[in-house]
Amino acid sequence: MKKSKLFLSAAVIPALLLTGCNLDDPENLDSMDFNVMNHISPLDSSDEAVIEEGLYSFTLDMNKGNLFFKNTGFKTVQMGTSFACKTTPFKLSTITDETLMGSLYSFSMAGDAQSSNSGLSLSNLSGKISSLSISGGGVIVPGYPMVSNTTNQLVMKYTLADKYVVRTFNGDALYGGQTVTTDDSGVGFTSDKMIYRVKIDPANKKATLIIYECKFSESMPMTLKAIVLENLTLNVTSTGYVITGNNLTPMLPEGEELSPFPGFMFEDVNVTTVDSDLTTIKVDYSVRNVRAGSKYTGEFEGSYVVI
Amino acid sequence: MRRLHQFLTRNIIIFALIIGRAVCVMADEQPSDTLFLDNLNVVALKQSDKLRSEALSGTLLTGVELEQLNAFAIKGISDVVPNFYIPDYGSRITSSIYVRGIGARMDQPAVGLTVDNVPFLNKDAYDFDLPDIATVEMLRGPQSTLYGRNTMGGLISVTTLSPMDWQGLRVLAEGGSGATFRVYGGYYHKFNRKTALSVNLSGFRTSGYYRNLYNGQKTDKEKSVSSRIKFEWRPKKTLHLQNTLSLSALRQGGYPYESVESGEINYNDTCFYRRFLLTDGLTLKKIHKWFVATSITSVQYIDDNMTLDQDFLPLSYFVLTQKKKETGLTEDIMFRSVDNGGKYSWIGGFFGFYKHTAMLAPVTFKDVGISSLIESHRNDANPYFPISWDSREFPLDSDFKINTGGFAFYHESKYKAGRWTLTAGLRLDYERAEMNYKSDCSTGYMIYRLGETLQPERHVDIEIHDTGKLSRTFVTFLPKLSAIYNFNEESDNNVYGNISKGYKSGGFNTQMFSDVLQQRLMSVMGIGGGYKVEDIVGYKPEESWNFEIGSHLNFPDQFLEADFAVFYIYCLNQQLTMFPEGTTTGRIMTNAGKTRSFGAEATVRWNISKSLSLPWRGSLSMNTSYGYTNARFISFDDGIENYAGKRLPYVPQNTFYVQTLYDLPLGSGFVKGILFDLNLRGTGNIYWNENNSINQPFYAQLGAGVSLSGDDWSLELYARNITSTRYCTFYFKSMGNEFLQRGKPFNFGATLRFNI
Repeated sequence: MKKSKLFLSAAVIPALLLTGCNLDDPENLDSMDFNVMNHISPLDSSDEAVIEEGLYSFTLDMNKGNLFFKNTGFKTVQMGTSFACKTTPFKLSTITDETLMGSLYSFSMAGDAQSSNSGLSLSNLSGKISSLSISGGGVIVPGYPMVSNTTNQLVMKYTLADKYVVRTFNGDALYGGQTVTTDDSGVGFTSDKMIYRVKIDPANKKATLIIYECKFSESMPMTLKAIVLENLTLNVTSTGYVITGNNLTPMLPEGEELSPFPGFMFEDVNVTTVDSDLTTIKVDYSVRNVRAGSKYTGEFEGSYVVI
Repeated sequence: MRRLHQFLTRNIIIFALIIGRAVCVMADEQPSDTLFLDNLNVVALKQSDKLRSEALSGTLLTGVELEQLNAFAIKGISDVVPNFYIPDYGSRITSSIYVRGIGARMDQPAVGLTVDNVPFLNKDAYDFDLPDIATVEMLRGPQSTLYGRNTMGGLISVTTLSPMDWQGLRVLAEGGSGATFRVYGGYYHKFNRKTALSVNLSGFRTSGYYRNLYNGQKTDKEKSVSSRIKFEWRPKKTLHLQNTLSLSALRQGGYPYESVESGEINYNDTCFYRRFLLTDGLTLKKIHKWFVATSITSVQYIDDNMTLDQDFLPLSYFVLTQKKKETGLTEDIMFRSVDNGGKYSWIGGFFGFYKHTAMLAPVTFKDVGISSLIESHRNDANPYFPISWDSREFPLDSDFKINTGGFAFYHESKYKAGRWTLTAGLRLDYERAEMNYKSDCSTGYMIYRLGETLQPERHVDIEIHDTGKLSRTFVTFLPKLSAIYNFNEESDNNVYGNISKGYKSGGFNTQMFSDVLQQRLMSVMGIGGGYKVEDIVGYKPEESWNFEIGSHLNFPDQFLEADFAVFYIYCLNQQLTMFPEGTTTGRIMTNAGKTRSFGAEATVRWNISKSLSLPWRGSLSMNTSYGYTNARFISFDDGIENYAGKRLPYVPQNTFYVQTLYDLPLGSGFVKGILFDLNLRGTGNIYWNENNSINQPFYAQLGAGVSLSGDDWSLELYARNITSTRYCTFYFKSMGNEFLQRGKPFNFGATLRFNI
């Protein structure tokens, strides 16, 4: 996977590791819960793919180096029957270099991963739990609690009931990377400070895009702390999702509320997942400065986590 | 002024009675042995009475020479000492001393100052008038090993006249251009061979030279008063005590900054600087058989208020106030081997200090500042929902409590091998600074909806209340090596080399807090950048390595003395004062990458009459000094531009001084002699910014004086900058506007002295 230029935080060693080093403890178990979005796509393409929220409860045995998880089930698949995976070995990597610091749990089980007490089969499991998430977006946006930049991210894929491919991803994540904006005369401006937050609401097929630290050109005198684009349309595709919007009046956090910002109209917004792990998105948009009559096009590609 | 009066009224009488009582008691004691009159000056205590026998560049100016220069403060010797430059700008809080490319415009000083052994901890207090200076010693190059922190560029040691050395009444009255007046009275009394006391009082006022077009008033007016009580007690040949208590109070306008665009000094808000300063230094020296133990204890207190029209325009942008109360304590205990003619000698000691600073630094945004810096940016960004501020004036309050303390151990050993003297020294310096800050802003604005009429949409409250604590710890070793080869037994003809490390402490950018708050305010409004306090408020220490070769030469047959030196300085993390990009209120101290400085200095003193055996009456002599500094960035990238290879700003490339004196005795009448003085000072080229796009070319000022003298009186008539050379002493850019301060035009005066 292409590793974008990321704005990475100094990762915090997961709290569970602090509990995982007691060699005298015969049972060295840590638990993690992930409330994530699941892209559920039929293997035979008979139905459309859907996105459904779901909770995974992981238990990691640090002494034995294996893990298992339970899930409460999906409405889409057998009306929410819970399932679990059986014990799967994991490998822990601690990453430390000039720009990255953190931990990465990698696990996979090629064959049957289903535990004996579940009604649903689960196979071809592979995944990573990464603490190398993007930070930024420190502006308080009313109505949108700040996303923590220290949580572990679950990126996992498996086959469920021999019918569906399920891929987990963070449905409210910060994406870091490079933004290139171009004005009417073709002058480009590049920024790696702009952070994009995508928050999806699959039940209503809606999404919100927040762009932090917005600066569309060198000549723009002030940076906008955050621009909020609400009520975008969420379309689920077989490979991921697409979010679109047209002629949007962005909102700007001002005090404890959002203020409409009609001076910069977003004529066209497109957010598309670009990788099979659903960790990387591409954002294209065009912005019109209503008063000046000028227009900018912006292109961004970035990820919310390093795996 | 009122504080000084109150202090004096309440305490001076009591103090005088106590001293007087003690003195009376001592006066009744019978003197025993002959007193050993020695120099209790800190340079003499740590190094030598004879600067020219040391492996360093130093200049000694006597009281007579300072009178000829009409110098009552250290600014008066700028350019006279080679590569030593103190621009006269701003106010008395501004003491930006540059030596060989090393200098500082704010916060930590690069050159140390001691007055009667009191090491001044804050350079805000460096600029004050000192009547009756006995000597000023200016040591150039790092003095960090023996004198510690913030002597990276050098050390200025001022010694005032001792009542042990002179007794009587000294009176001075001076008047000059700019409606400048000075009066002084000092009484020096020696009770017996063991005890002496001096008390002096002086006052100064000037209307200044520059007028503010806005209100028609002079901007650089000043009134000040100061007092000093010096007590010396030598009960035994082996025990000396000296205590000097100094008080001063001043109020001045200051800041005659001229707009480059308009050529006018024109600003509407008040600028002033007020200061009360108290220092007391107690030196105790005990001579044992094998060593001399000395203790120097000092206490210093500053209470000042600097208030500025921060934009220096006739528009109400913002006003900065910086009110500070600071108390400092120092203790220097040293042990030094007795000079018994042996080959080995040493000095070692301990230094400790503590400083507590309480500072209030509000920036008040005013009408034009609110509209142009806040409302316009917000309304340009969102013109369909414009805003209007609740009030046309509001403060961004910043409150600081800074505690700084440290200690050091130092040692220096000297070994004489024939004509060679080798010296090695080391100092371990530890310092810790803690700052508690509190920033507050309570204000708000109304958002309107743009339609046919403006309709109120909603109100936004802005409540910012930030507190925090930052700390910094600095530890450093400061070594020194030197070698000197003496051509003669008197050790005043020599050649030397030295290598030493210099150090200037790190600290906190308190002036940037108003900017941090301003950015926080803009963030609440959804626009602007943001500073992280931890990233922007602290700056690191500056360190340098100094390499120097020099020579002190004495040609008694030619009545000529000459000193030469060449130097190279490599500086890491040089501290630079910058105005951050954009519309900001504060200045920031940042650490540049690396810089280097090399140059040369020469000083010559020549009694021409005696040397050339001139036939006419009188004595013709000449003093001259020249300094050259080439100081450049090795690497400095501020994220916007790379300044590698550029010259350091505010550093003069050349300093030049020549003074010719003709002293003509007139016989036995009332007027016993007449002294003619013709002098020329030159400074420059000085670049004003990092990219060297604007500079002050080399300029020279011609001065002259005539002095009549009798047995116990003298009358001096002086003139400075006779050709009214136009030059700038300071330049800066703020909010995109350029400002400069002009040097003083032609000025003159007369000084009458009585020493009875």
